[in-house]
Amino acid sequence: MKKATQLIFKFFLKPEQESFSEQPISNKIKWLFFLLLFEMPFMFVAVFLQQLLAENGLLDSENHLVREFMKDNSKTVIIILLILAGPFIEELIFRLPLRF
Amino acid sequence: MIILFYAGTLFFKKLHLSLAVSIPVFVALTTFLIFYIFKRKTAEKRDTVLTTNYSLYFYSVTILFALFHLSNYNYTPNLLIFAPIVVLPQFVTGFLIGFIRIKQGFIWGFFLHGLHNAIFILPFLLFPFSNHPKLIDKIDKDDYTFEVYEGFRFSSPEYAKSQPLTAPRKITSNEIVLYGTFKNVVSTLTQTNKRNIRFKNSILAEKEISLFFRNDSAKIESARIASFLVFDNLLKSYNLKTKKEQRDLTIWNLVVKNEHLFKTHICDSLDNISQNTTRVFFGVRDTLKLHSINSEFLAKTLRIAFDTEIQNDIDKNAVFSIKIPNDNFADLKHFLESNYGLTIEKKTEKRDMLVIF
Repeated sequence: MKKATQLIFKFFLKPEQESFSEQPISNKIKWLFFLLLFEMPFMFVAVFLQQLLAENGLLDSENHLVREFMKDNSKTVIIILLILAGPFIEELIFRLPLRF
Repeated sequence: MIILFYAGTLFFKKLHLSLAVSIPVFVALTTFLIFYIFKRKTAEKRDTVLTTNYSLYFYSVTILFALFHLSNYNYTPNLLIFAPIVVLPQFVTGFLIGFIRIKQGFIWGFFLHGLHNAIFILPFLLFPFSNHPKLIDKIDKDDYTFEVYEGFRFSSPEYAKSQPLTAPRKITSNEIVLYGTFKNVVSTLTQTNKRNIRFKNSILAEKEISLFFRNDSAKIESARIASFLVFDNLLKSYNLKTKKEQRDLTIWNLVVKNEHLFKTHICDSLDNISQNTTRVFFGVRDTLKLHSINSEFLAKTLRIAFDTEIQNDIDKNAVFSIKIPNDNFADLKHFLESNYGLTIEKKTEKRDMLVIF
């Protein structure tokens, strides 16, 4: 875990295109969940800061498009668009060009 | 690139495209230009330039991804000022997805993105909070009972058929039954315009609550006294205090800007004014079609539909028909000007505000 954190920190300081050497799928899955856990503390801090802004009337968090979308659409549509199609399209636009 | 982003987004705003459209369109165009046109013409040069400045390239794309999510919010100047805080979560997520995409491949970036969204969305799908009313406080005294719940709670047969949109609202000296956002409930109980009420905690202001009050004594003589007693108990339940404060409030005046254009829409005399009832928007693509109305009615409708203080400064005798799309309030001014010769002018007024903290 310490090694993984160091690797992320090194990448943060100097992102480069070098990929991992060939590794088993179990390792890849471990990385996936490690990164999910890794982002959580940052999410809490960010949400806390956003709440501070909202409480002081500096940010209108009530009219959030995702919230409105979730109110207006069925669970199936929400899952397809927000968990599958949306991320896929965003990945095509923003992450696919990161390696060339 | 950030300057380009803001400039492009504001340019689209000038074209009166909502932020929800303008940001994604601009981001998509910019990314396309950066990568694909570069790729076609000078693939080798692109490789050299981007590899040499890879950090700059990586972070530019990550920041664009984060700023792209500003389109989830309603446009306000504050939104752009506080953009770095607002999109901080998306920046962190974008960075980590970028990391796994480079290290393990595209599909793993997609998995992480999908899982991230699922973690934040599934709890709301599985446990929609509005269906689970939570008892906040219950006061059982000799002469009255008071209950407050968060959420929609109307279990008695009298209210069982009610849906949140047509929630019961009863205010007498013997009984008070209310459902709505905290702010609306306070507005009803204190008979104060909700625009003159300010909550320090804006999240609490929008929380939906159900209120019940039953009075068995003759001491509480009027509905007004009962309302204040309930308001007092409600404040105690949430450990809140109130104060009066004078504040500048932004209000909008509905006026005629282009007399000629406006006159082309005047359709009838005041005698034929239809018996309209105020409507609100249902869904994002809804359009309010108002037939044979006067300016007073239009101002009232806009006030309710856009939840903004709008006053009428147009002759009440003019009767006209109008269609209002459910757009951003910022775009309403342009829409009224170009289609009906009307406009809304901004001004500020000192108002006594009820501050709840």
